[in-house]
Amino acid sequence: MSAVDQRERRQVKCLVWDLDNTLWEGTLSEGGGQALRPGVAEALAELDRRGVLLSVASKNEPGPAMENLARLGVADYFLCPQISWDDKGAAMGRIAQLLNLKPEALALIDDSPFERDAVAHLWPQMTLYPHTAVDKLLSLPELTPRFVTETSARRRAMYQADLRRREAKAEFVGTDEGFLESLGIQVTVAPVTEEDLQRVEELTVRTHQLNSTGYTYSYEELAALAQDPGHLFLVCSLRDKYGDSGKVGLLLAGLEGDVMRLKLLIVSCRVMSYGVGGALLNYAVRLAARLGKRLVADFLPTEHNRVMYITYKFVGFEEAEGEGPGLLLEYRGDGAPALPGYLSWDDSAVSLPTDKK
Amino acid sequence: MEIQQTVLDFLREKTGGAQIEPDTELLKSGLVNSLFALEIVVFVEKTFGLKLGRKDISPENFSTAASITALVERLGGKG
Repeated sequence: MSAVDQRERRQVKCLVWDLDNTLWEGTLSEGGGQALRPGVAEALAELDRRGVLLSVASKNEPGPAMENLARLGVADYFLCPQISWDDKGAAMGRIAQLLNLKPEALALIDDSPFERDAVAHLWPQMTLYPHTAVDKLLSLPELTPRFVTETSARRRAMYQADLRRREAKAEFVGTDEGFLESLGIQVTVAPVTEEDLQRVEELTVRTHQLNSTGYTYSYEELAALAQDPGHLFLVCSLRDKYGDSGKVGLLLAGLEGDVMRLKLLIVSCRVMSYGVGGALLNYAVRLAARLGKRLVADFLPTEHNRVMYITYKFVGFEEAEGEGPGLLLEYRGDGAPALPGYLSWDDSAVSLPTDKK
Repeated sequence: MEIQQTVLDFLREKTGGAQIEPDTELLKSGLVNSLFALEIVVFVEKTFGLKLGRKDISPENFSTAASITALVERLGGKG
């Protein structure tokens, strides 16, 4: 992949707003905050539609500031707003943690060069914009996902559900597994459809931690693979009692001779804590067993996907002969491991080549 | 023995107080799923100040509290 591609792939997933003289006119504690600054309302609405998450980091009194956001009709846009007299760098760190995002996925728009410097000092990976950038935000590549899918438009609601889940987890008395059981998680696996492909491409671009290869495929390549009878191309969606998380994973495998080869396995970070990655791999093992094929997997270790490597190893994959820069892992376990008991798994829409005969 | 006790305490707490002995099978018994396995790896690295390499991450090394302890000792982890 060229350097240009790498740059294009860098996306800001959450834009954090300062309030005084950035989001709204003037300083709230001095009687300001009567109106949003020009262009802000449009920027918020459009970024929200694109699936860019929005949050707030402001040095203000939390009560009056939240009231003012509500009065201006924009409070609902913001996830986990951080309004206090605390250090702004610390606030940015909390937002990253609460939303389960890497620091490089966050950006701050703030009128104060002092605050921007403070954040840059603590988080050199974060993107910083001055308040004068409001008019340009919508044309910046890092804030312009290639595709806006159904899932992007619902992203805010999904993260809100995540935050509620996390609160519930903090209050839950019992084991982690007990908590997962209480969520009533339903996973549906189905063949990829044409409407899914944009979301699939979005997943390959947005998801670093849990991408088995780091390889990305163009929309056209994905469309061709979806039609190819020599490939198994499945998407995985998830819902629980807090809501629908949409399409959260995908599995692409080539079927050739007596080998099933996992070419791409991606799981959205949002559902990492549900064990969906391991479950999807377990599922691949069972599919290979049903097809009577050996299961191998392409794996390209990256800075971010170590969690995925660990998952493969614990499911029973071992390193086989390496080819090229990546690894070839081969499943050498005992076959058909059980899926976690807290996941209800529906794959009724999946038909394997042998099932058709 | 301190390393093994630390590992056992962690495993027992995570499983809600299961009777886990040094040689209790963790993975095959279903006590530990792949999600929990990730947590154990992170726990071992953080608690004992280790960075596990690709070769160290294997079901064998994490199959029992005793094997986890042996791994930590082999890598010179600080108890």
